[in-house]
Order: sequence, then C-alpha cells, then structure tokens
Amino acid sequence: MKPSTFCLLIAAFGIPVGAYLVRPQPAAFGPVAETAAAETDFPRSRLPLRREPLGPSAKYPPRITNVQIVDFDQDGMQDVIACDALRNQVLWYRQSPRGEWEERLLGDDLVAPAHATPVDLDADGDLDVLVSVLGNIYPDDTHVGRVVWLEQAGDRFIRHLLLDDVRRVADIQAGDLDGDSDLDLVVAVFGYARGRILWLENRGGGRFRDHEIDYGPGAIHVPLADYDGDGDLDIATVFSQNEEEVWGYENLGGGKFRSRLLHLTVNHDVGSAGLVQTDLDGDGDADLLWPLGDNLEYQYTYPQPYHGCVWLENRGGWEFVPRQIAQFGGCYAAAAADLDADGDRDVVLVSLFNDWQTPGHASVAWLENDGAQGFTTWQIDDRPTHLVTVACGDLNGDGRDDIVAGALHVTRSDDDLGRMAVWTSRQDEGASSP
Amino acid sequence: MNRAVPILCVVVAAELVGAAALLGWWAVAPSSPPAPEPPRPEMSFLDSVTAAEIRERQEQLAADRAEDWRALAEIYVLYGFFAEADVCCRRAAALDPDSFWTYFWWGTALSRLGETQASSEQFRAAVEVADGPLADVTWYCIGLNLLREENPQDAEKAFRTAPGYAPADYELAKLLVRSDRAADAVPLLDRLIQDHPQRQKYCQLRSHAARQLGDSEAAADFLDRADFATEVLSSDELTGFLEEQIGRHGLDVWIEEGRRLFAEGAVAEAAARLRETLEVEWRQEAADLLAHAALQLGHPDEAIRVVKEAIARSSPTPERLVVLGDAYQMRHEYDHAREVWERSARLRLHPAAHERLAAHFAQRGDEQSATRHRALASLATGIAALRRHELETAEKELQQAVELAPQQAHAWYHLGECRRWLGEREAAEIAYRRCLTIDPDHGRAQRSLDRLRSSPSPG
Repeated sequence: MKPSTFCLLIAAFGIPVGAYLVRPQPAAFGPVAETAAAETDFPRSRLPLRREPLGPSAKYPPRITNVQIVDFDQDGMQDVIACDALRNQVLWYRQSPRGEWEERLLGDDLVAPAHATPVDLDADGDLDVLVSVLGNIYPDDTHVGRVVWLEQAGDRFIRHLLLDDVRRVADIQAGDLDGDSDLDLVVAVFGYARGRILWLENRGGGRFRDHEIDYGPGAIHVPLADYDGDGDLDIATVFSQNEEEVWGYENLGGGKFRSRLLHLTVNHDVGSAGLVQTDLDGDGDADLLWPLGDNLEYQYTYPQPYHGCVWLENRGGWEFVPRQIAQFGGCYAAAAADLDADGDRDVVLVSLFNDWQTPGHASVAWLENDGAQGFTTWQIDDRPTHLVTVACGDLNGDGRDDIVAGALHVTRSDDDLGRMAVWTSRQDEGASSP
Repeated sequence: MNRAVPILCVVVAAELVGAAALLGWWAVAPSSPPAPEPPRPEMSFLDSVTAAEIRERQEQLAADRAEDWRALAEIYVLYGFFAEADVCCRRAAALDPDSFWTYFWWGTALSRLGETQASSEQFRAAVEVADGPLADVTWYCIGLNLLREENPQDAEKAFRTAPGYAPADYELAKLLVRSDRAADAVPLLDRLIQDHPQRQKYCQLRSHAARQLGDSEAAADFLDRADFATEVLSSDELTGFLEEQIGRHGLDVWIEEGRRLFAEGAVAEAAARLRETLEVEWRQEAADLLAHAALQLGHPDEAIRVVKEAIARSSPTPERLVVLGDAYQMRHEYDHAREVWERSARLRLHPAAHERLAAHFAQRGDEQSATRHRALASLATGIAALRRHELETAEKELQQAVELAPQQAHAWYHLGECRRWLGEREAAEIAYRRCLTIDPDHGRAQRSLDRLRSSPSPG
C-alpha cells in the first residue's frame, strides 16, 4: 500500500471518530452525592482468620437469627447452637471430630425462634435450651410469642411451654433472681409497638409464675449481671422502636426491682440492635456493648453515620458512661473476645444493613483494643452479607477466639446467600498483628 | 488499488465538509447542547416490572421539565437510590424553584443519606413555598432531622412550629416527658388521646408521663388503654408515607390488583394476575393469596404447590398450614389434612386450625376431641375479638370456651379481661379467680385481680 493511500484510509476513519469525540457533551450539573459519614469499609485485618461455611448452603434467602458458641455436649470441643427462622428450628452444630460439623435438630415448629439460651434449667447436669419464640419474623404486635424450654433427656429434647399468649419474645436469660437457689428467667418481650420486661419465678417442678418489671416497645436483650456489685443479679435491657433507651433493673431482693435509666438518645433512628454484657476494660465490673444500626423499618435502607457500637462503661453506682467505639454502617450485633490474644478484650461487629450494592463493604469487623480501651477498626470480611448475629469462642482449640455469624435476609437481597460462617484462627497462615 | 485512491479522496472530502458543517453548527448554537442525562442506577436487585417503570421514567424524561426530574427523583427515593434522587432534585429545583414537592423529596433523599443538615435546608426551602398543612408536615420532618442530630432544643422548636399536627405534637410531648417536663406534656397528650382514643403510642406516652408525675393509678390506666388500643402507627410519619408510596409502583401494583380482584369475587382474574406476578418475582403476599384463590377455584394441586414453595422460601406459618390442610381435604386426603392442621395448631393458637380439627373429629365421631378443638377455636376467636375491642363478640366466644373446656385457665383469664372492659367487675373477679384456681402461677390473672380490687373503676 502506498503511503498516500494509507493516509487517506486513516483520514476516512479518523474524521468521523474525531467529530464524535468533539461533539458537545450533556450539561453537567453535579456529581451523584457522596454519603454523609457512614463508615462502610475499613483497612483489612491481618489476623490469620479463615472463613468456612457452617451448615448446609442456602437455596433461598436465609434467616438465621441467633448463634451461640458452647460446648453443648461437654466433650471438650466447642459447638454452635443456631436459630433458623426459615425452617423454624433450633439446631445444634456438633463439632466431632474437631473441624467437622454435624447438624442435629434440637427443636422444630418454633415460629421464628429469635434466641437460644443454653442452660441447665433442671439442674440435672446437662444443658437444656431456652428458646425465645418471636412467633413472626415480621412486624407483629399480636400475642404470638412464647417461652419454650427444650429439656435435654438423654438423646432427646422434651418441649415445655413455659409462657405463651405474650407478644413477640426476643430473649430469655436465666439466673437466681430471688435468692432461693433455683434458676428464674428474665424475658424480653419485644412485641412491636408494645413490649414488656418480665421475670418468671421458678416455682419448682417446671412451673413458673410471670411477673412484670417494665413496659416499652422493642426490648431486645436482657443480659444479667451484678451491675452494682452488691452480690445479686441485676437486669439490663434496651428498648428500641424509636425509644432507644438502655435501662437497668436493680435487684432489691424478694422479687422487687428498681428501674434505672442508664442512657437514652433522642435520635429515634439510631437503630438499637442489641445489648451485650462484658467487662470490656477489665476492671472487674459489668459493662455493656450497644450495637446500633437497625434499619428494618425501611424496605430500602442506607447505612447511617451514627451506626456502630457504643460502650457503656460501668463507673459504679449505676452510672454508665457512653462512648462510641466504632462507626459501622448497619451494625447489628457485637461480641467481645480477645481475638489477638494480647490479654485485653476486643470487639467483633457484624452488619445487617451495610451498603451491599457496592462490593467490598464490611460485613465483619473487629475493634482492636490497645489495652487502654482505644479501639481501631479492622475489616475481617465482606461476605456473607446481611449478618445479624455473632458469637466468639475457641472453636479449633488453639487457644485463640474464633468467630461464628449468621445471616438474615428479610430486606432486598443480593446474590450472596451465605447462611452461616465460621472464621477460625490459623496461626500457621499469617501474622498475629492486625 | 489505483482506483481506490480517487474514491477515498471523495470520501475524505465529503467527511471534511460534513465535519466542518457540524463544527460550525455546534459553534453557532452553543445555547442548545444535548439534554443532560439522568443518573441511571444499577437496578439488578429490583424486579423487572419495577425496573421497567423506572426506565420508562428515565426515557420519557424531558430535560427541561422540572416535573419529570421530580417524578424520577420520587421513584428513586422510594427504591433506595437516594444519591441519584439528590441529583434529579437539584436539576428540578434549578428549572422550577417554586415546587414544594421537589424540595420535599430532595430533603427526604438527603435525610436517608444521613445528610441531615443538608436535608433540613431543603425542607426549609419547601416550607417557604408550602401552604399550611404541608408546612406542618415539613416542620415535623425538620424536627426529626434535628433529633437525629441529637439537638433536642431545636427539634422542640421545630415541632412547636406545627401545633395541631398530631405527629409533631406527639414528638413534642415525648421530648417534654424525656426532659422531666411531664406536666407540660399532659395537656398535649390528653388532647391527642381525645382526638385519637385508639392510638396506642399516645396512651403509652401518657402512661410514662403519669408515672413520672407519681400518679401510679393513671399510669396503669393509660398502660391498659395502650395495651388494648387498636391503632398502631408506623415508627414515624415519614416512614409510613414512604411505605404507602412504594405500594403504588411496580410489582406492588400487580399484587394490589390481585388483592382487589379477589376481594371483588373475580377469583379467576385475581389468580391470573398473581400467577403473572410470581413469574416476575416470588413475593410471599402474592403466593399466599394465590393459594387461597386456587382453593376457591377448586385447584388443590396448585394450592399445594404454591404453599409448599412459600413454606420453603418463607417458613411454615399457621396460616399457610391451614391452607395446605384445606387443599389436602379437597383432594380427600383427610388424614393428611388433619396432620397439617395439627401442626398449624402446634405452632400457635389459631382459630381456623382448631375449627377444621373440630369439624374433622366431629365427622369421625370423636366428640371429645371435637369439643376440645371447638373450645380452643372459641378461645382464639375470643382473644382476637378482645384485641379488636369487639367486646360483645369476645365475651360470647370466651364464655363458650369456658363452657366447653372449664379447665382452660387462659380462657378464664381472657373472659375476666373482657368483663373488666365491659364494666362487669364482679363477674370479672370470678373469672380471674377461676383462672387462678386452675393455674395458681398465672401471674397476669393475679395482677389483673389485684388491680381490679384496688381500682375504683374499670379500664
């Protein structure tokens, strides 16, 4: 080909392309807005954690509502207890041999079980399970809740209905509240617009009498501890549903309690998602972790700048000082553990309502404690998404805490249908620093 | 090749002339560049009908029409595309600075993005062009933003700017109670309760106010009223408004159409619409309604298939199991039907399940089981009526429940509650006592009895 012909060919193609490129552009009138200040992702953690799925994979959007780590059969290996509100079952993931999981059914036909509390309620030496039955995973203010005791009797579990005809039950904890040496129960009746805090007095022989302590909508958890250090068990709770108040109930003895407002925020949208008792600063008293990020009232959600986790530090005399220790969009659950084995308590957070449309946003993060309660947030994983529950414990027996979390899909879902996952520490695979 | 050179020369010359003409046109007509393009978010998580509706709005948008930009912004807000809605509102406001709804949707979009201060700026712009009631709504939204900023002082001022607008009055009363000014909140709450006696949260807050003022009797009374109130509101008005609007678009319209046709008795048409819906995307409300429609049309196989899928996708519920049992019954699989109804009854006290079981056992001559289920059906129906405050119906059903099963403690307790609301104090006390005789650990009955004794008047 002659050079002149080649130049003509280039010109024939180049002129239209050039004209296209210099065409007037649509008027610009501003970029798509950046979000306020919601923290949705973090620097990658360098903890040597490896993720593996737990249990069968999900064909449909999963609805795991609660996970617990406990050595349920007392064989020296930690197991996982899970509530599945899609199958209406409470499941035991038995670890045997180590690293292998067998799914066993503890109870079924429990409509939307919200929480499972392993406890030896009948003092016969084995662990039973108290099941908080919501009765409906969706907003419902009718009396559909139940308190169910699954009594371990050899290889089977006998189901006892301890309380029904109450609104949706979100949590049950057991402890001796009236000083008569048996286990009483505290019940968080979440309801929807109407809820209650009840205590059930153990009357012996599997009989319980209900007493009302307080009322308010959306009671999520009722962690028991000796919050005032006077030797008996007190109760704490959080009322959500636009109330967003943390309350303590001082045990006065004889089944009497004094209500104490520990903290409130006027931010009705803060999204209280739970309340976890732990001695975060290691000073010997019971502090509280308050995860914030519930967005369930919206069909289409967005992480908010105030989502994250607040530490309510127990200063004694029922004074609890709030401090936000993490911002984390759509945060829904917290667990305390010493993830880096440096002798202090770190915190693991999971997110239900992060911005899942953009890949890479955190679903699991941990807050590294510098020993003086200064916290740095590190991203552990971005999958599975929609995580609603988390627990920590040494699953693989290496002396370091591992993580288990479960996913609940009740709002719009992406393609990720991870149901449950464990993150176990692998000392041979990486550095031990963050 | 030699012949190609002249042809290429002609082509290049023509292109040069054309390009020059275009450049000249663009140069002399700078005031009319191509229209700005609307932002087009990724919509893969939306069903195809809703996505198509949004795309249609995008395509039909006239760049110089503020209303089109606002309409696109509105639907973007409803489906969670808040940042894109912000862009559209900016354009709409530039084209028409006097539209209340542009600023309202703009404020709403920014609010959901967590940009509360920017959101309030737009709401304030909306107030400037709003008439009375819309201004009240907007001041309420500004107040909510200020609460989210933990600025109760300015929030209080915003709510005070919309006096007489019930949601704003309620938020104001709540702020007063929470700041130890319950006495100031009481007149506000009493007026709200007078205007809306069945609104649960007004009564509940009034109970808190009474408790703060040390009036335990009033606190208990208002708590009782809250417990039995029939009107439960959304968490806030703005959230409720958005939910209502979502129901007017996309696949929700199809479901609503199916619901309407079913209610009007056009069951076949309803079923067809619902089947179409489920082909687009599985929705539990469409599936549950289709199962009912299939049964009414005499198609038990379809009902069974639809319910089983609903159970797999969205859990077994008492209602779904009742329908499943009905379908098995239609197929003359009576034992199978009974098993499913019994499972439904195990999940929760459910009137329909017990009614079916009562009929099933009666037909087989098992009168004892039939009576037991009749009693439970009456109990469930009575409790539901009591919660709807239909006291005469409730009393009739609960009375029947205790006659059929005198050892059912719950039935006596609820009969006591019903009689208390009817003002039949002595009869209520008898019912509570019967409950406690059967179940001495029935704490609620004991509390109601204690209260009845200490209270001068019921309710």
